[in-house]
Amino acid sequence: MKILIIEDEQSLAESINNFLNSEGHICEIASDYNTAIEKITIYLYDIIIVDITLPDGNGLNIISELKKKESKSGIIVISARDSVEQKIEGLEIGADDYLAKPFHLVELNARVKSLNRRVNFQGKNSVIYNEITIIPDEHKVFINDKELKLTKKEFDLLIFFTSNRDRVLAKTAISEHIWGDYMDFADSHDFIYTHIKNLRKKMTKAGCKDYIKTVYSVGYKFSLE
Amino acid sequence: MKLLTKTSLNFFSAAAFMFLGGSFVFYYIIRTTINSNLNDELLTLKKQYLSEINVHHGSQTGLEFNEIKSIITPYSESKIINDLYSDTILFNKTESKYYLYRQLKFTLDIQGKVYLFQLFKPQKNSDNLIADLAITMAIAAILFMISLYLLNRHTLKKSWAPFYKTIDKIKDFDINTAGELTFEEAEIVEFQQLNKVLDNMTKQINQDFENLKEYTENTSHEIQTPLAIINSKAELLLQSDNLTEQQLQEVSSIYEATDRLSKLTQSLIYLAKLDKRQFVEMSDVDLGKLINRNIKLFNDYLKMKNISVKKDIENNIVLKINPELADTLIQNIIKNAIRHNIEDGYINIILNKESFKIINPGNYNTENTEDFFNRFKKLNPYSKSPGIGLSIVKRICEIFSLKIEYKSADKIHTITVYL
Repeated sequence: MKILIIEDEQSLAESINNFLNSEGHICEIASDYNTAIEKITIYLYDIIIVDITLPDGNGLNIISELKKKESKSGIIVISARDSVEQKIEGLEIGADDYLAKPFHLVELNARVKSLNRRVNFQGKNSVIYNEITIIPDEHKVFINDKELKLTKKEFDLLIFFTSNRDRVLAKTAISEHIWGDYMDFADSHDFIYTHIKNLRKKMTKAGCKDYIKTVYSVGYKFSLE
Repeated sequence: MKLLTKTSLNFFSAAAFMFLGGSFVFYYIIRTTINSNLNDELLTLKKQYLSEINVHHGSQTGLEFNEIKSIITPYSESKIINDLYSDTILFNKTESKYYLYRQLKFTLDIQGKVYLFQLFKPQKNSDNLIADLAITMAIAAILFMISLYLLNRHTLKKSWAPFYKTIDKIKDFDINTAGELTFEEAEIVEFQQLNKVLDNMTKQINQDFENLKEYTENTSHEIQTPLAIINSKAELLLQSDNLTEQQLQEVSSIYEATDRLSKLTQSLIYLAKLDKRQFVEMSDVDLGKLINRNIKLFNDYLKMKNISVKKDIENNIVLKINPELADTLIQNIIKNAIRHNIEDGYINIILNKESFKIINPGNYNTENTEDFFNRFKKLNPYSKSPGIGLSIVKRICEIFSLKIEYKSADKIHTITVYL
């Protein structure tokens, strides 16, 4: 996919660039409002990641411009965490998703994948990993064509893993993805362990190979090797 | 004591003192005047006697004059008495009573023989006069004092009214609402000055408060960006293939630490921004529903620690409060109860018209419960979370004037929010 990263903080933009690159996407960076406007006028992108606070303009205006052009790009807003008002405003103007800084790159990756599915493949599309078939929009998982019943959280966990194949997912990244803001288990990583254990059990019982690898004292990785 | 009481007391003490002093002076003056009159009358009689003696040469009968009794007796002592005035009491045989008399004593030489003259004038009339005068004066004085007091009181009330109004306005000042204090125009210069000073002061306070909040917010924002950079770089490192297990763990520690740091900063920003100005919308929040919803949210957490929840929640307990803050309040209290709970513990929730109570066991110390709501003071040393959650709870309670109490006994902790 072609992704435009509009972020004025160099290091951060580079990190996002690196990560998405290694996922196979083609990324471009715009460090200020004017460059951003220029780029979106000339090129078409599948996904645009916008930082609201730019030195020479408001990122929200970029979104308005995109909507004016009836752009079909998926738009993800990144912003400082406490601006609930900005979040609402961004979504109202036409952004598709909102991510607060600082965020986990794997989280951004999962959102990008999810947005891509919504934007480019409306309707049922399925993702296949060996014996696992997932239909994300219907929250259905099939192992060897037999449906596997998962709780919502287990399903979200699986999607998160599969969206970030071969990536090390730190425990904090996982817990924040599943339980969000109101659960900050600074002191209970056992929690994640239990849930992943349950997911693994369900999958292996259904005849699936255990693709979820433990990275000791760091987190987990979903790898098809 | 109140201003009015003090001035009244002062007034009455001064008035009483002056009244008493004045009475004595008055009595003395009247007495002296009357005595003087009586003396004059006695003297007149004496003069009459003198003229009689000169004319009649030896009359020894008493003369009549103005009820004055005369007792004339031969005088044998050597001392000559010249006009001695005094007050005496004589016994009236007919009425069996004692009466007060003004007496003039003198000796006269009548044709070689010395006689003692004692002239007595009854004071009954003058006494009555004094009594009547005294009563009249007393009544007049009392009436005067009362009316003066009432007048004083009325004037005081009117003059000080703007002052009391100012006091009421100050009482209502709430920094959380950035209220403007508008004072009415006062006639009295001092009160005008007072109002002006207060107005400036509150404007300054509001301004400083805003500045402080802005400063806190800006600082925190500035912190978030470098944190985001560290976070992202650490995360990229985590993806490396060529790190040893040891190195991976070290990077992971960095990653987790920045996560904690950023959560902490966000809580601090949130706490700093908490005041009524940000969360103006008030509505009727059903506390029971809110509590139930939050318990459901924490279901997984509760299951993991095997904590049982007992609820004693009355229906329709409604609180007028900003809904978002109410949610945060309940969430933080419940989260706290779970986090510091023991394995296989419990949470008891009691909600009624008076209060919202949450009780849970926890194996930590609680000697200094003042610290319980203090930022960063962690009573549970095993907890890795900063103690901000409860500071937020306390602040929200402060904003909406809800009293919150923490008690603990035998490692069982109770938080009560009075509604």
